[in-house]
Amino acid sequence: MKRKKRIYNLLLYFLLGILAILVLVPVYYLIVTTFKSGTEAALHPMALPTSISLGSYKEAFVKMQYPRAFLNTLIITGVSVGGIIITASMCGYALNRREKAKWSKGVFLLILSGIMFPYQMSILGLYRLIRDLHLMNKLTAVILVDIAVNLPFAVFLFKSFVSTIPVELEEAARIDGAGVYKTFWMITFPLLKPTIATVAILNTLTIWNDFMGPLYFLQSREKDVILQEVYRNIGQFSTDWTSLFPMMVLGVLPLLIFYLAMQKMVIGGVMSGSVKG
Amino acid sequence: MSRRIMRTVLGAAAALTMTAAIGLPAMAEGKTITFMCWYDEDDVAGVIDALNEELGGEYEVEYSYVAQSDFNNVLSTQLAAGEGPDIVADGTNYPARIKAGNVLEITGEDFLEEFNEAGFALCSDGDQIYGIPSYGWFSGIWYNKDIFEANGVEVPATFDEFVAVCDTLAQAGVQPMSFGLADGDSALHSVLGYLENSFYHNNDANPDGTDFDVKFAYGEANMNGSLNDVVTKWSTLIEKGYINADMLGISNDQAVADFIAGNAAMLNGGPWQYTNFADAGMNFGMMSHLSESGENKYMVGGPAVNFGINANTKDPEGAMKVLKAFGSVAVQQAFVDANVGGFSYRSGVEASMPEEYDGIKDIINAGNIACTWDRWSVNMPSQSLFDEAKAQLQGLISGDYTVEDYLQTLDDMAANIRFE
Amino acid sequence: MKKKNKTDRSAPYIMMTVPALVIFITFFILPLIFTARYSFYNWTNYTKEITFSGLDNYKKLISDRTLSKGIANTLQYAIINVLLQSLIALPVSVALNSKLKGRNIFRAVYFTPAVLSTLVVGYLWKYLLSASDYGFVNQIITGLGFEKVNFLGNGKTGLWSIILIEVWQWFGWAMVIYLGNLQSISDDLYEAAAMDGANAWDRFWHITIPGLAPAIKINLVTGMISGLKVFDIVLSTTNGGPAHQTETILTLMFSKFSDGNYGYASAFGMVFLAVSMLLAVVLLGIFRQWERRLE
Repeated sequence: MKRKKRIYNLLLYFLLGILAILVLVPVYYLIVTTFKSGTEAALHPMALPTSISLGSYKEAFVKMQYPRAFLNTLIITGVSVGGIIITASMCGYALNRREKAKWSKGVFLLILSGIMFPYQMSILGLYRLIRDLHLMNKLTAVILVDIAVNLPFAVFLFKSFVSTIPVELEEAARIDGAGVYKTFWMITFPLLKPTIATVAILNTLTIWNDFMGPLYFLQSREKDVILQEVYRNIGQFSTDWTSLFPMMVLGVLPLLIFYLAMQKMVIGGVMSGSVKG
Repeated sequence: MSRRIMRTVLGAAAALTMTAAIGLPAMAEGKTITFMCWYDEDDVAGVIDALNEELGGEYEVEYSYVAQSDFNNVLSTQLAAGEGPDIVADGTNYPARIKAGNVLEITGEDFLEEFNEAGFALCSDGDQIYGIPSYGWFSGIWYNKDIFEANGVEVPATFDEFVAVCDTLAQAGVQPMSFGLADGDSALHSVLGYLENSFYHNNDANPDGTDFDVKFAYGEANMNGSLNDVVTKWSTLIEKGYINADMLGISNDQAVADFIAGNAAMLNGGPWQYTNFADAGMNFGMMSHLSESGENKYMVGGPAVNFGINANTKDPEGAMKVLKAFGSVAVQQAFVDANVGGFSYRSGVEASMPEEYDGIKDIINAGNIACTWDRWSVNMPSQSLFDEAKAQLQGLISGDYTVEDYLQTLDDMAANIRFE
Repeated sequence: MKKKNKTDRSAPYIMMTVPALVIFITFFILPLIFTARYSFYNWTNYTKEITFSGLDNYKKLISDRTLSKGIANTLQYAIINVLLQSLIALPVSVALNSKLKGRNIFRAVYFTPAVLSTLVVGYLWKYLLSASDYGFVNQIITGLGFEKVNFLGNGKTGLWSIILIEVWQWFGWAMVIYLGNLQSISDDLYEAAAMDGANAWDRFWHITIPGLAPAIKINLVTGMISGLKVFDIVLSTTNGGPAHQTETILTLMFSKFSDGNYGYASAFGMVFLAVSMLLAVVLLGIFRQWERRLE
């Protein structure tokens, strides 16, 4: 029995190991290739680089106008995530505390439709709207769209989490004379921390990696995000490896670092974000 | 744990909101004029230098590169959004830019007189002029003289001779032609080059000549039913496997590299590639696209990129100064120098034709240069149809389409994009 | 008095939903109405005046041969992708839910591709799968003595390649969702079953799978929706080719958009809406059946 268990475990490690290799080889390839010449990469794709030089990264960094593109991406992601947390937490809270009311049910249903349907179907109307509002080529456009698109799921998460917070806590504050808003911000909102973290993580991943929104709404180069820089430079398949691979790495580096630093939290966020959903 | 994270998240959000509210520090508002095109930064460096020298420091030209495959997307969306570079650059779609009101009219400017009439083919509408050309491009077939010699083959004059050359090379174990059709348009150049010689010209079955394209552009003629025989003849190259499905997985860059490395005997291309081959020390030459008779040959070509002033520019005066600089001898010369073999539409520019072009010199000098898709542009954004023709040709090559299917897809596309 | 009090108490709550509602309606609902409307207009980049054109755009749609290909591909991307993901993620998550040493490392590794941008993942795989001499995967294949495979340059293999890239990127995400759900299945159930003499397979089939119903539901729904939205990956690998054979509704819509054919692209948006609705109805039906069987 024990031996059987050991064989089973060995087999399991073997299979999981193979899967891990399949997952990691492309990532390894991406990174080591940045330190190789084109011929070197073609002849010895898996070998460790013979020398580590950051020269090609420097070049890619300049070509992509990285600091600017990074800042744009950061602003879009940060403001959108902040906006989602503020609006969705309030909305989810109100919908939960007035769950029985007709208006609440209607609003919830309306917002839920945003989870089922991808916004991409109405991108042309959106394009027109953004143009008419004179928001074209402004970070604000992408931010507002990102908030609107990602809000429904966040509302959903907040609404279900609020139901675990006893109303009694709020009533105590109410007796002390605090209004609905004050009670929410002082008492309830701090208790929503776990969901806030979940919403922040999920949306950081989605919005940072969103390519379509910026592609449609940000046209000038000063406004573009990291992925648009990647697209602009690698748009046409090229054999100029030494300059392209560092760009790909720079394209994924920020989130990769974010993930490596907060791996447990990111996975935890995805996990709790879905179990409640 | 979670409190610290909370604080970080909220702190970051607050800080970012503030940054966004204040806005990024405005970019230094020097007198910069922007211009965007699909030429590699390295290739266009000489032009930019000449431009800035011509402008004498009054204005600075800032160039940005967009890959050719995305250029139409990028420029169209920018212009439609009321944005875009100060100088609009475009090729076959330039008439569509005029039609959309994206470029300013410049009729009557003095410097326009330095250009010959043919140069305005794409940047004018009737008597009104909306831009200037850069240089004249053409495409043909590059061949490796060493490989030809080693296998005892001569430069073919007719299509049938060409196929025979491919046969001989293939039997000797040499790949006749290099194509990178994952993204390249060289196969489309091949078929349209053949059509130029065997349908639009030199063909009694087509009484309309090049006017066929005008009729087609206005929806009075269809490709399916008219071009079938000629395209079927061309697809001998597919049938014999000289253009094949494996090439659909190969990029154009790779195909050029293969030609340089001597892995293939021929490559469809043009002057923009000349320096690549010369620098690699190749022994090469150019031949024309093929015709049935070998007489009265045509090269595919015309005005390359055209320049005009963006109707949305915030500095029309500066853009005009830069446009004039684009039209100067020095800058026009820089374009021709970067495309050895290309010709100029401006007086005072000296274009050289090195010996590699000996086989086609007469055709160029006779002015036998024409371009199917430029003719479509009278009533459609022809770049869109060009892109479709390139994409769908992959289907003909992979064997998923018959010639009839292929031509029908082009008729369908044309029906969707005609201006009127 | 009582009644007044009640409405008074609702007002601040209604106010709290307003910011979310305003943004959502303006940037989600309104554009949908706009798009529906523009699908009946001849709005192009080259027309100065936008005029009503009736069903013209839809007539064009019907004769557009790329459309049916686009719909079929989109459905294939969505459905096959989601099934393959779960097929890998389910057993992996069950394995990692046991007290296996190093399970956190495996978990972290499998999730890594999900944080990479899809666009970059596409470019990376385009190099890996290239049919040129440097294509890494083909180097292995030819090294093993097989014929080179033209992965991205062929309509059929191109479609499958894109699906496999997607699975590579996202199965870790599905796995995390299953793991979260597995933790909520009580150990008592397994112990009781073991006492009854149920073997590992029985336990997996009769306890794990029904217990995972919520996660399966989430993975199918979210996977399906993101499958419908496939865009970046196609743009960066095949760009819809060869001959539009790997195109999706969204990539087609984008090409109509960049042609300046806005009204026509709007009609594509409406097709997309119809396909999403159809899938939603089918999914809900399946879940209802399944729940009935579980009861």
